[in-house]
Amino acid sequence: MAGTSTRMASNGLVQDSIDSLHRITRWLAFALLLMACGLISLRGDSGSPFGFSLGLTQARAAEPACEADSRITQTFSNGAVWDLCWESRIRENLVLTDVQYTAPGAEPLRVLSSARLSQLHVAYDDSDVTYNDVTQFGLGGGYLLTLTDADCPQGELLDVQTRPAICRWRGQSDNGYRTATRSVEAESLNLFSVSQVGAYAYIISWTFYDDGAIEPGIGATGALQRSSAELDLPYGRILQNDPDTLWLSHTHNYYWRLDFDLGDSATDDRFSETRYVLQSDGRRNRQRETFTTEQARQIDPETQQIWQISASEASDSPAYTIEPVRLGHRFVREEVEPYSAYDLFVTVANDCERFASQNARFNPDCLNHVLQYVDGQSIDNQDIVLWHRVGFHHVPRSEDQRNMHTHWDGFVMQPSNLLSGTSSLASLPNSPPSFVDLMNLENDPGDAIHSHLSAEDPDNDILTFTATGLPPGIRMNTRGHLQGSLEQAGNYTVEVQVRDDHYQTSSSFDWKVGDVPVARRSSGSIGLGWLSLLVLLVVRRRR
Amino acid sequence: MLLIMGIPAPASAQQSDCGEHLAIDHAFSSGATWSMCLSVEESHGLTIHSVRYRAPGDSLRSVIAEAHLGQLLLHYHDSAEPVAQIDPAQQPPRSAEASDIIRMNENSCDGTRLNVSGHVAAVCSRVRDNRILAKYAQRPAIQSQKLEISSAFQRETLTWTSSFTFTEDGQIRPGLSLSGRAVNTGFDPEHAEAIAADTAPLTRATLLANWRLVFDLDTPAIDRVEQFDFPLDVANGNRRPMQVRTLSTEALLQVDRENFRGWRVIDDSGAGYYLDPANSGFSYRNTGTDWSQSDAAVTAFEPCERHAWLNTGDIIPGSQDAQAQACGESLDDYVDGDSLQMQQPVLWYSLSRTLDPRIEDWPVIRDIALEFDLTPFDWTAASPFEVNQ
Repeated sequence: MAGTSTRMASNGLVQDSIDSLHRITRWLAFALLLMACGLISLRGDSGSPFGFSLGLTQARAAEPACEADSRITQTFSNGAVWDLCWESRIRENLVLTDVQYTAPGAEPLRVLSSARLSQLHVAYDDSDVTYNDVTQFGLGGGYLLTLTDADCPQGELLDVQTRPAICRWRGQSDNGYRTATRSVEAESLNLFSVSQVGAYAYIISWTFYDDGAIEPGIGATGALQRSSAELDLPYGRILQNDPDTLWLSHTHNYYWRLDFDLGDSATDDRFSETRYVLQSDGRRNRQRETFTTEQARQIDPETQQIWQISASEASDSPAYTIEPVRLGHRFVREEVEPYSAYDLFVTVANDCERFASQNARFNPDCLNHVLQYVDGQSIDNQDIVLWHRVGFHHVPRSEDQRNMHTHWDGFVMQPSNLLSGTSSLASLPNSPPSFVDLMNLENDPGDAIHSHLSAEDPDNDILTFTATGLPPGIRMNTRGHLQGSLEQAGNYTVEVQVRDDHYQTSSSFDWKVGDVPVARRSSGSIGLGWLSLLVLLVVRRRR
Repeated sequence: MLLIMGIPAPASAQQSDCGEHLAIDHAFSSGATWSMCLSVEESHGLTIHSVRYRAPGDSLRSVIAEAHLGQLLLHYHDSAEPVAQIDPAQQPPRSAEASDIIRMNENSCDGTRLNVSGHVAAVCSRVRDNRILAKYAQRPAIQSQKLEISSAFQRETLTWTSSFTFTEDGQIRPGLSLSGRAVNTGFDPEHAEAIAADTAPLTRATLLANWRLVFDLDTPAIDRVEQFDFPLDVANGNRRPMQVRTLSTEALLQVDRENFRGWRVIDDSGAGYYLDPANSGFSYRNTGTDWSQSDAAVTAFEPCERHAWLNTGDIIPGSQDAQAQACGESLDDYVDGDSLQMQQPVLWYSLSRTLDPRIEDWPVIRDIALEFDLTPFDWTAASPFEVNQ
């Protein structure tokens, strides 16, 4: 939410003038409250009808800035929390702001300044008609359907102005993780609304998982929109029981606008692209490029390219990754829509750049589409916005008559460096593993070591080993296999850990290499486990 | 053996005999019904047989004769060759105690645990919500459910879950997920990712899942496979004419993202199922296994062509047929120009993703999931759930 533009400070109010007085009044009251508290400043922000932005955006863990009835806080079984504000706009409908995630046992992390669908582009195969539904019609206001309990049977209905139009419900992911003895699935918070645009009903969906993942989604249902009486045209299909109509094939292109503000600052995020490039010897090298200017990127299926936005340049900083899995359809019509050749855009946040296409329709002083926004600006020390599109080519089938079954599209933004590991997700009963036969060792320099640690687990979980303080020349893999050649005499205290998917057990042992005096360790620093035996096969190297 | 789940379905004479396999039926409240037989094999886990679907108000009609994983490759990035996770010669039938098939418990299956093919609790069956099936204007949304059948097996410390999800409106979603413990380590940052200070960097890997889908649609007639393309005709006003081509001979096939390529299996009645590679954002490539360079393939049905690679030595369960030993070794052997005329087609389909470990994958990998949809296409004359003229 950089708010760097002043050209269209009032775009949200002027062009969407049919937004209700209720919403304006609500914002005004809230703004005055925040101004009184010194929490906002007057600068451009398309998120507010008054063109102000929230001065809180730079602060990590700041409370989401909205009224109670526009705020959603969801705590999950594992202790994770999602906290965000929402509003429904005439054009984009559901807009999420101040999105924060708190990992189990961690501090809140600011993730997104704002997130929304920024265009719903529908192109028919006969090329006679193209819709830009968000800008031509809008997904909010009168296009937003009132929901009932039948639409939201397991959730809670939230009011947009005076009528229920958002469903909030808790669900469960189909995925999580699995070991030999347990399966854990992520819990989720889902928000959705339904917009009727022509014959189509679009389900605008946002899902937030307890592991930090975010899934923007959209379901297309309702009924087929366009048909032709020219039955011989090769642009559609004649469906059963309707021999006089050719229903036209078409592509839905969904564009999301994601203003990331990861961590402490909105202006230190980094954008990178990773490719896994096949080498002539069959191996695959990772190539990562961090960009310093605005970008328009295409998928590269053979290198399995992914995109990442990180909170900073530090390799362990919180990050989100977009894997373009759902890109089996790519709508490209460069002659008409030059931006259609690209799948992801990176731009500097600019309030003037609101919609992925037909932007000038409401903002005459602004550029018209997302490819134009990519004009070489530096993204260093700037607030970065990602724009991602996913497409679906719809070939009519008889089952679409009517009503059409929902076709879901979307993508997942996976977190990195937000959790301390898988264990923070588990909430099932579990017993910790323990070492078996761990004992002190004595060897000579030059000895070759082939050995392994041993441990047991009451739940029969698969175990993973780690170690620090190993003598030089010795490595241990995650199965606990020790291998190498002892390079240097000395007394070493090796700290070892064994983990199941929930617990970690630590212990240590002494490893004396060569004839050196043993340094006595302070009492109480060694667990009982280290007194047990280590099964060790030592192959002494002949000198 | 017949297990009735949920609301009992009307009896089906055709479905009553699954032989050694486990029969299950599930009827949703709408009347939609799935009926099938299940088996589990040491090499590739779950197989579904004789799959039939009844749309509300319709009859129970055959969809799939047999479907299962055709191969799984795990290609560590520091290695020249992938590791086949399915190798029938190395994974012969074995006792339950020695099996790599994971026995489900209350912590790993919150549905019904099923004993299949001599393996106790080898399959998990559960019914879950499938969100809104359809919604139009202010009419109440039609909610729906799905039946999920899954089985998991281990390869060293990795767990692979093979699943088939059957939606109330007739979709079949084959799925595969990788989880378990990543234990391959390396120290070259080109190939391995350091995720924690106290452990060696974990090696990245690309996985390829391939499915073998033997269709048997509706009537006893032989099915055929059509390829749909929608190429952009720039010279003709940027239109996209639909091109439908019946595949008349065996072929290796590629996804064509810009042309929206897809494949339909169709019965002589016109009823079909469509494989839309919408989830095919990635393609797998390597320098060794030719068959894996294709995203899909169509072959004439041969009982012994069961795995896309390392098929040699694979035998048909319960059969000592010498022909089984004479089959080709890999998918590119099977595609040898045979005509598909009057031959039941088999569709092979692959998906790929890369595991680049994160701290969130430690010590257990978060699911790396691959899945795709097989969608009824003119299976019924209209939506069987609601007619709104």
